[in-house]
Amino acid sequence: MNHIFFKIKWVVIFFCAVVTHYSVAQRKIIEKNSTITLRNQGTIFNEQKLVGYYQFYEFQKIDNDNIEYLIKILDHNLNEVFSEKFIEFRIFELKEVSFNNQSFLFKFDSNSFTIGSRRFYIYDQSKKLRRVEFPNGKHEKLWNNQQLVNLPDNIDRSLYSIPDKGFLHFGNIKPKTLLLSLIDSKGAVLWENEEPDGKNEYRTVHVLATHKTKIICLKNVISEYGTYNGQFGNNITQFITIYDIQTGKKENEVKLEDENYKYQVLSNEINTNSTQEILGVFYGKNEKIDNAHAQGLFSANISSDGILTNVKRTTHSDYLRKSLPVANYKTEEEIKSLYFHKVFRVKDKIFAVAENFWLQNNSGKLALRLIGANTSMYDFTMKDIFIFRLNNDFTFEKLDVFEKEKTKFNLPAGYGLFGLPKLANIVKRDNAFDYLFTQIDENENQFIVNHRSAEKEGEVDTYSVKSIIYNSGTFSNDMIRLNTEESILLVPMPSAKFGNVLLSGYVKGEKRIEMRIEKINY
Amino acid sequence: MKKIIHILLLLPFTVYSQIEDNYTPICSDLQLQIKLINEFTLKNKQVQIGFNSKFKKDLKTIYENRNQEIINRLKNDEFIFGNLINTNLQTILDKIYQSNPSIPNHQIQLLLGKSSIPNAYCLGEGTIIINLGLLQFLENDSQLAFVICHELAHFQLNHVNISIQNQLEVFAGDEAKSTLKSISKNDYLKISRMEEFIRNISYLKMKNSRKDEIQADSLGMVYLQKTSFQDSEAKKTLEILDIIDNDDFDFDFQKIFTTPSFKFQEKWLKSNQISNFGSFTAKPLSEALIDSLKTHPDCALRIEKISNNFIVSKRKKSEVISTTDFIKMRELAMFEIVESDFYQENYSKALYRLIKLLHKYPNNSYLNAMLVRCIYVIHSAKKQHQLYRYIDNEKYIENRNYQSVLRAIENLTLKDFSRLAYYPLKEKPNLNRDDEIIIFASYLASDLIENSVEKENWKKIYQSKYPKGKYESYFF
Repeated sequence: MNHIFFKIKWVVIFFCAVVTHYSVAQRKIIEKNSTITLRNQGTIFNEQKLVGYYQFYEFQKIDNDNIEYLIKILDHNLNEVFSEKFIEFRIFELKEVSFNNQSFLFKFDSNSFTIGSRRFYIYDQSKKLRRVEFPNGKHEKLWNNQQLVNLPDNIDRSLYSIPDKGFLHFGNIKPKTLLLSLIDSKGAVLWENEEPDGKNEYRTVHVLATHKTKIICLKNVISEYGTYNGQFGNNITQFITIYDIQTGKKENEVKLEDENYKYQVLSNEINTNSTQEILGVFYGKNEKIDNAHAQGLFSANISSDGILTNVKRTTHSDYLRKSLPVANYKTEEEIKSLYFHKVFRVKDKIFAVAENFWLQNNSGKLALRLIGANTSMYDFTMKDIFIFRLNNDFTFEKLDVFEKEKTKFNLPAGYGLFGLPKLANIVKRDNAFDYLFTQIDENENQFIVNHRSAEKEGEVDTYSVKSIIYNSGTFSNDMIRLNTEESILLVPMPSAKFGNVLLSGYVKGEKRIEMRIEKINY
Repeated sequence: MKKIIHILLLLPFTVYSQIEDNYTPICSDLQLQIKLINEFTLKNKQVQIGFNSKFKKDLKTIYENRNQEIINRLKNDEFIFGNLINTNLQTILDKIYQSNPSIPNHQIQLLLGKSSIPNAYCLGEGTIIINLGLLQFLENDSQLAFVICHELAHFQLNHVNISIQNQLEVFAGDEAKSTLKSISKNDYLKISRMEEFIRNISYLKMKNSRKDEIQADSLGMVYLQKTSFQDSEAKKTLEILDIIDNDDFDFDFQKIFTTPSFKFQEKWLKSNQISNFGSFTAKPLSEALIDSLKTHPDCALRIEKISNNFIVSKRKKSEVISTTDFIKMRELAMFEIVESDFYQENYSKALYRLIKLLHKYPNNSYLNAMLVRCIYVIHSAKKQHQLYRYIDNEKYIENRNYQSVLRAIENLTLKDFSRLAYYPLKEKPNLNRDDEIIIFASYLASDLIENSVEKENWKKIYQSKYPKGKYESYFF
């Protein structure tokens, strides 16, 4: 939903109060001049928990260069918490919002060269929105990397809250340095820590968990970046890095690699024990993890000293062929083309959610290519959702395959040259997989995997969000139609509170946005 | 016509004797309905703007739309005709006319709306609408007489038409046109300027509207004091209106739903609306803004004005409609509102009212069966994720019992929801299982819990007992 510009009718209570009787011509003028534009909207997290949503509106022009903006904060039930107006430069976009029980931190992005490219605002207990001034100005000179790394749900952020303490911020500054900082709940920088990158290399950091004294992070070191070889897969190595929360100093770093394998973390559940469990997929030692099929699943523990222990693996080739019907999955390539979205634990079982994909020849596009269209001859095609179930000792128990209609993703010309796994990472980056998100309620031994679905009902294309619900050992399904009304096509937001899906859509005739929470039936 | 009168005379006795065990919804008089549609259609063709106004064209459109709105509502069966309540309303109106010959009674058309919203209003051209939703709160004929007198006063003082004219003057007048033109022309600060423009107009409108209400109270009191109704009830009416959103008791969900095989769980009534943002709660609208936007002044102020300006007589209770008959009429209205809410697809409201009435009439077949029908449609909407169309949003509701009903609708799983319909109907001891509506409800309840054998059985029972029954077409 980000970056889509919607027109929204500005509805306030006193507008509603006068609509009874007045001339039609006047009404049109009023409507035309009382319209505000939604620039983007997104989710707000406190640690790894979704707590609400933000909406960023262009309210009105102030002069040639400046615009009055409106930020609206909604809680996870869509109740408005507050809205604030402020004036800023006309090229301005709200990138992230984080909440830490004490305050909200807003990170903005501007492509203007006349101001710093990043700006931070804070809304604290004083209930006022104000700009955060950084003395050395480093935070305003951040640059964005396009990383092609598969990450667990909801951790691809640069702002993380530490409840009642502050906010961690990670970003890359020029020249080639990773900047880590802790900003307190009033907007003051408590510490800054810089880590220089090597040649053709950059790094990104994502927080897995914060403890009283430590921050446990997942660090990606991406080498061969910007080189010819890098086009066909960057050399990515993942680390678990532990920072001291008081000083920002690196305490320990574990390379997720051993003599035979490379590991990729796909879990982000907070573990309050002293040992953090990590779950994910593994690759061959010499494979590039953004351009190879995963060989299987792994689990490991990171001790508080940062030592990787108790590594367990299970290899797909041991059971995939046996678990899949030959009629649907004929070739080995089809079987192993799995994109793993999430690996997680519920009670004493471990689950992995993957989506099956392959590259399909499209003869129609060949004709388009001949007349000069910028399109690949191949379609990236997504099919079934796979849910792997493993026992506590990490032995394979069961594979459940949830069939869905094929969905195609149009590739630009030349993309067919990339390896299939790399294409899958591009599709993931563009949020084009059908998989949406997984919700886990470990206390109730439940989880819900939500994915998009497009089907034909007679002549009509129907779009829906389908939910696969796991409840104490059994699966059930639910479906929410997205195009029930002709005027609206609802779009699912990237996250919602457990057992719910948040839908948003533009009602054309009424020039307004519809947002509603739908409870999943289970 | 004689037949209708005959039915009307019999109706009170049949309805009142039934209400403990069963209830049969009112069948509206179609002929009266059609006659009125024709009258309004004719009225609409003849809309004339009598006085000299530069907004003649706009006024004509507004009046035509107003008539058309009534025609549409008549066609949608949103009013009740030829019923005991209509008769009582007309009796009270006639009494007011007798004591107030200055009221041009030939222009007045009193309609009884099916809406559950507690409201009465005057459309300006002589039509006064009283909703069933208001009747359920009133205690006697004098209170109802005051409501009617208040609306007659609005008509007599021409408040609606003057208000429309005034709004057009403000909204479409030269000053407004020039302000809007200037806002349109300038690219900057458009919304702020538009807000200011609308705010000023709104405040003015609301201020005038509050003034009109005080005037209508005053003239209404003059009318009422000329009648034999108790004028002291006027203040009581306003006091009732002031606390109209509150229930006088807490729902006992256990009593209504728990049976030997099914226990209603208190956790279903827990709110999910708790925010994770702690002290960062929504800023309430400033009190000044809220006050400025009210169309009606506070009831306390209205009571004070009446107290200051009128000496209330020590008249005895009127006997136009006895208190017992009035209360029975009120009960009738409460049952009818359930029916109305259900057919208007306001299922959550219907469910709330059913539970409320079941506290008083636990063995009423109609209520028990309607409860199942209501749960059945809500279950179906929930299953198809269409619930938002039929239920209210808890956050806009102040009544705590209704909030609990809404929470239960949200919290119950489909399976529990089915059981909620099935077991109370099956295991309630004193229900008449031979009632047509109970057999039909039993069929629906067995469909909800997916017991096809039982479902077929109820279908056969219905078809054998009521071969041409009114629910025949609902069986599948």
